Amino acid sequence: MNLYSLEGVQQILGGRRVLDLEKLELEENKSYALLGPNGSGKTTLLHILAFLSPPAHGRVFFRGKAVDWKEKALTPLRRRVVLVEQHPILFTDTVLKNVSYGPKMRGLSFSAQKKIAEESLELVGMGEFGPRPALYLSGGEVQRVALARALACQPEVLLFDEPTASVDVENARRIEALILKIRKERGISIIFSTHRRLEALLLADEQIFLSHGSKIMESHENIFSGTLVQRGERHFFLTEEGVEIAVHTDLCGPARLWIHPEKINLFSRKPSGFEPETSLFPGRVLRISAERGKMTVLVDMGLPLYVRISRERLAASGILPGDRVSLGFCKEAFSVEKKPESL
Amino acid sequence: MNGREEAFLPFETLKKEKIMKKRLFGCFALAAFLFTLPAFATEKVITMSTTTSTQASGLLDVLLPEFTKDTGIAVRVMAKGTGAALKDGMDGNADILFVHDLKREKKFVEEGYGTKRYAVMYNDFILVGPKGDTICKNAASIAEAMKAIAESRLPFVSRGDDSGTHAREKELWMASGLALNASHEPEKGGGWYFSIGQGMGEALVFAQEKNGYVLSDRGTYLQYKYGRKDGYTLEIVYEGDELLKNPYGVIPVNPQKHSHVRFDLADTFARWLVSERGQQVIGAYQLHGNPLFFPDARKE
Amino acid sequence: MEFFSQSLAEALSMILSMDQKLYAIIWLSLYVSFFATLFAAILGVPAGFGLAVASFKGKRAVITLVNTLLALPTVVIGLFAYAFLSRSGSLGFLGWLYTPKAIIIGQVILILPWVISLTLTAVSRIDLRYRRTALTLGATAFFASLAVLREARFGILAAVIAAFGRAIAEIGIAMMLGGNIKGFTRTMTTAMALEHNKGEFVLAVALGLVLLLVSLGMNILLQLAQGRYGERV
Repeated sequence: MNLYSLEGVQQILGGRRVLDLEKLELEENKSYALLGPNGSGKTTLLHILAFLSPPAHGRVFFRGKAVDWKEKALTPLRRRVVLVEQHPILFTDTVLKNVSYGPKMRGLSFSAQKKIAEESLELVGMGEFGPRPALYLSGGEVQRVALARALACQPEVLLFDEPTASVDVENARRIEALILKIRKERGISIIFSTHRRLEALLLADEQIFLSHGSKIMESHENIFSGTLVQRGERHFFLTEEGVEIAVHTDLCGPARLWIHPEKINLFSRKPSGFEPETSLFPGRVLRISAERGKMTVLVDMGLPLYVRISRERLAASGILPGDRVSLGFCKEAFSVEKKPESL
Repeated sequence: MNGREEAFLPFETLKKEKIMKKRLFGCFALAAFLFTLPAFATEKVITMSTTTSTQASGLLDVLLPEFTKDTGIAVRVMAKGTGAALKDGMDGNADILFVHDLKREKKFVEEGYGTKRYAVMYNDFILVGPKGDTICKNAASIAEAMKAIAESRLPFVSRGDDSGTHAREKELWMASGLALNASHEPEKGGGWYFSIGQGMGEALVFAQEKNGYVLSDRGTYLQYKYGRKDGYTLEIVYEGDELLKNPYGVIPVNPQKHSHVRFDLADTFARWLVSERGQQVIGAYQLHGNPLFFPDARKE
Repeated sequence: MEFFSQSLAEALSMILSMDQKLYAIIWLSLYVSFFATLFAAILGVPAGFGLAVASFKGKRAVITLVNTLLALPTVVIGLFAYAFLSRSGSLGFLGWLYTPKAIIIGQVILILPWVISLTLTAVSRIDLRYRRTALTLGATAFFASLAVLREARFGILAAVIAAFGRAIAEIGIAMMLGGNIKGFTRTMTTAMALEHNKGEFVLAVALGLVLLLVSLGMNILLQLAQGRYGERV
């Protein structure tokens, strides 16, 4: 039985259709990443999955049962799933009171509330923060307390909206590690949205791509959304992940960049005397797989990059997963296209 | 080219002249305005602090225009309780007082705040009460009537605002021989004696609400009884006692206390009030067919 | 100026000497305005909250109406309530005119729009996410509302205190409906008006000082309450 089944679900906000899913099935005990640019409907979908806002059209099934969107029927459902928002808000109270809110709402005894809350805080590494006022926490701490608060609800499904988008790198790594740990230790189904493909690769069993409210099949291999900017004579493409790549173009503004997977040079160390026309980036090998007689190397260079290379060349380079490498692009590797205005 | 310039010049000077003229006119207007300011200030106006009864009765509406017609002096009226009116006189906030509390008026003059008290007129107080009243109507005197109210613990509304009417009420309580407290109110007043600290009209309305008794001046009562659309249910239950006589006096404020007061104009008003002409106007005034004030100038 | 400083000195000594007449008036004012505020809060806070969170047809019209009622002059309320409470009025049989009850009723009418409007503002300022967070953590609709109300508590407290301040400082209603009866319905403001009318300023100045002190005290109370949780208002 599927965890969630969505049939013809549409959501309309402010007169605009922001979500339109013909069919979406999410399985039990898996982790899903919802990928897509801003405005692609990720948050809207999460709100529906958290039973927080009813869809305008369509039906949602939770563990095989159709969801009744009447307020009274929703509370028991909501108590089985929990959503951590992108910018979580904490109640104006102590950290412990925040974390014990879920257990309290479920009518647990005071001592049970406290016990669960303390355990949850311990799990996110904030055991000592209990008595502090929630008002004075940093962004990363707020995110972790929000996670502890969600865990204290002991949910069957944990929904995350951009868990790492608004925290610093250090906290982002921490939260990623926590999510992995929770997956492993508690067996909770996790559905999270992100616009970082690396994070999706790292944390999710499956990736769902959303674009303008609809599910799309393509994996967007080596296609990146971003903005073209001009600095002096040169043009740069800024990806949403924040990577800056020099490109040859006359365009400016929102655009898409495709990097040809077969026109990327992979070096096991920084090459000397490379042609100046070429851009060079450091990276790390995440995965190597065989595909249609060619090897595919997945490299983390701040964004996930697939490099297609012949078996022989790869063997010659001696590159293994985990190695630090340099990536070289000649100008033929890039193709840039301007984003259509209407989208 | 030259010719054009020449043709242009007179036009330019003409414009300048116009501007100059405008400016001159502006200066002149401003000067004229400034000169008229002191003229406003020296215009013949006096400020009179008086009791509400003189204004509410409508007497001033008849009296003051006659006075202004005779003398060219305008009177600005501030109507309040006698206490506040006297305070105005002491503080130099009024040029003349027109009040009705003989004792305090005399004290006011004795203390040097006023130059002289002129007896102007009198009217009378009346006791107002519910329609079915018998105890007051059958009383031998106003003191007896008051005593009867107190003994029956019937609702009695007191102005309680240090006004002339309030002062008179206290005197009547003293005359009644009842046990009084330090502020000359019936000692056992709880539950029936309401001291409301408001004007005569408010007290009359209050008494009607309570279906009780109230000491009122005749003018205000007549105004409420006959001068309003929605009738007034309370009636006169006692009148005519010597103790109910209510003399009005006028006192110019002493210029030696307050040099800025317009003593000359104020004194002119006082003398006009007690003159034959003033007295005649007062005597002729009627409210809803009833004479209200009786000329009193011969007395002093 | 001399007159004022003299009045001020006498007023101060009057306050310090625990003058019974003075304190009776202060007590009545506090009593009447306290109950008026209490009733207005009981009615107005849920109303303001409901207005903030509910969505229904004509909501804007209701809000406009409430905001219009903010400007209701006290004398208009006085007249209106008088018409009902007067012996000839439809509520005349209660015999409440010229009693503290009548003042309380009038003041409730006066400050109810303030409580509603300020509560509405305070609650509207609270992020929608508070409600959503409470819901996803398993709260019922009622407890989610409570969570939002809790977040808005200082705003609401400020609203209630502002309403109390308006009630205790008004005069029209206390005069028209209370009747300024000595020792019964004489409040600070009606007593001040009377003393001024009588030309006696000491008691009036003393009462003025007390009014200022009351307002100061309320504001300190508000500050203290807010201080517990830092800068959140």
